[in-house]
Amino acid sequence: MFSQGLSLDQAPPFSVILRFFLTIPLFMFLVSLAIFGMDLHGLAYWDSPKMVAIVHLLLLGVVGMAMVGALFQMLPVLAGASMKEPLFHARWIHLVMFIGTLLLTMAFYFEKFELLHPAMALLLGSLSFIVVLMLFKLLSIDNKTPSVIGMIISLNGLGFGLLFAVLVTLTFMGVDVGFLPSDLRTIHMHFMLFGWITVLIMAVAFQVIEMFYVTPSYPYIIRKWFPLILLTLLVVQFPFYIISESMVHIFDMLIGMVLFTFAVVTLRRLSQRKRPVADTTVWLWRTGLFALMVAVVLVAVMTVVDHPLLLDSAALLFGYFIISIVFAMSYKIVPFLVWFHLNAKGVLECPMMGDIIPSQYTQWHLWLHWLLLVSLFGALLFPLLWKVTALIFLMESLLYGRNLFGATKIYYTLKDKGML
Amino acid sequence: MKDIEILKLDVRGLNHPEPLERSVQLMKQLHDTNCMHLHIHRYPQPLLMIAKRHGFRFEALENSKGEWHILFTKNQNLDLKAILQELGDV
Repeated sequence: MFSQGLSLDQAPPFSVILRFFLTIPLFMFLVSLAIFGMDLHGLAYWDSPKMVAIVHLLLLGVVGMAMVGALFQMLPVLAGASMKEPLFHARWIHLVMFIGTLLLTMAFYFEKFELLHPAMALLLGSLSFIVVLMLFKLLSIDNKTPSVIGMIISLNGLGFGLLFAVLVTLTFMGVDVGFLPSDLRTIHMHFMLFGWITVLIMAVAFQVIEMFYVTPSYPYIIRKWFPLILLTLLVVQFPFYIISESMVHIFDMLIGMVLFTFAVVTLRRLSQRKRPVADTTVWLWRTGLFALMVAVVLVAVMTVVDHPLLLDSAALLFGYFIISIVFAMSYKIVPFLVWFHLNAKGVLECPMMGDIIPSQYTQWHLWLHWLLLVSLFGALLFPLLWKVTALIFLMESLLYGRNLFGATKIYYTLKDKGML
Repeated sequence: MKDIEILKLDVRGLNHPEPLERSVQLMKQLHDTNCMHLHIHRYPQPLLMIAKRHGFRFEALENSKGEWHILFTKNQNLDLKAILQELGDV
């Protein structure tokens, strides 16, 4: 079958994606400082304002920036949906998200709650715009591949997450919206973590695991249904927070089963590579997926044994899973984009992709990342080790920043030497 | 087709980014009297984007195994579809 002429002029300018990825190490650095500056006992309470600040700094500043950057890249390239003036939209969305995340973090960290209003306005404005703009583009595509469907579902998950963020804020202001504040927080968190971030990771994985690592495709049933099942479970689950707590737990188990299966199938795919050379990114995927599996098992154990350490461990492992995948993806995507854009400009001196971020540096990062996992569990048992955890994360941020900025420097040094 | 040299490149099963890098290297040898026959395990959209920017003509054909045969050339008169069919195994 001859190809039907996919559009080949869809790649957005490199700076569109780069600005989001380059912000990640900065927010990692701020997360480290925030942990350093915290009273160790405060770290034991997820609902303490400083912990809320750190969680948002990590999930909006680090993960959110990666996810939005990935959406800007995937929308035109994987989905074939062109966006008018991507650079303009990327600039203002990035700036507004950046300021909004800082204000939200400062509001909680320094307990200056008057900052919540501008923070919410900026974050809701930018993220809602992304949901509407990208959904509009994606829904108009004729050929909706599983990755496109995954992106659509993930944007819906983000939309729900934002809706519940508003409800949480209203509750915070004393408005009764019918749910317990702690339940609303959990629902908001679930839509953001599972409905948005995990579904988007799935949508990306369906494309890139096979493409980057030359593995068999995911089973069709998983590619087609898992993102939809995950979001459907979340949507059907939330009314039960009012009706039946036991049903909520059953839905939690079902969500866990979907996540666990996704992790097992992806690990299996990674073990079926045609040429099994395990670079750093393969190990980051494996580490992240293993953390996800253990997190699900710990939540399952919680139904039998009720111990706060189980929930804390599961939550930390889930966060570790997401961060690991962000590192794995960016270490593949950033060198690829540098190489692609330089070659597209006809730069003869363009280095090989493997030389854009030296493998030695990514290997050091991997070791640091494993050390972070050890220190996280140590800190759960001995809170003094949170300072060590913060130090390791700070070192990770510096090394990760060095790697991404090094790749960026190569691009900007060579980009005007092209023949085209 | 008699006067056209065909440079063959089989990158099936190679890990990313080898197929792209090898293809771009070989593309640099293309001129009016030759073309490159790439045999690859998946549709290489980024490579085709680069080829288009560089002014190459190309034609892609998928075989029953889901592998792709792609011809690249700088020659404006070659019937790439016909050559692809002639190459067989597609």
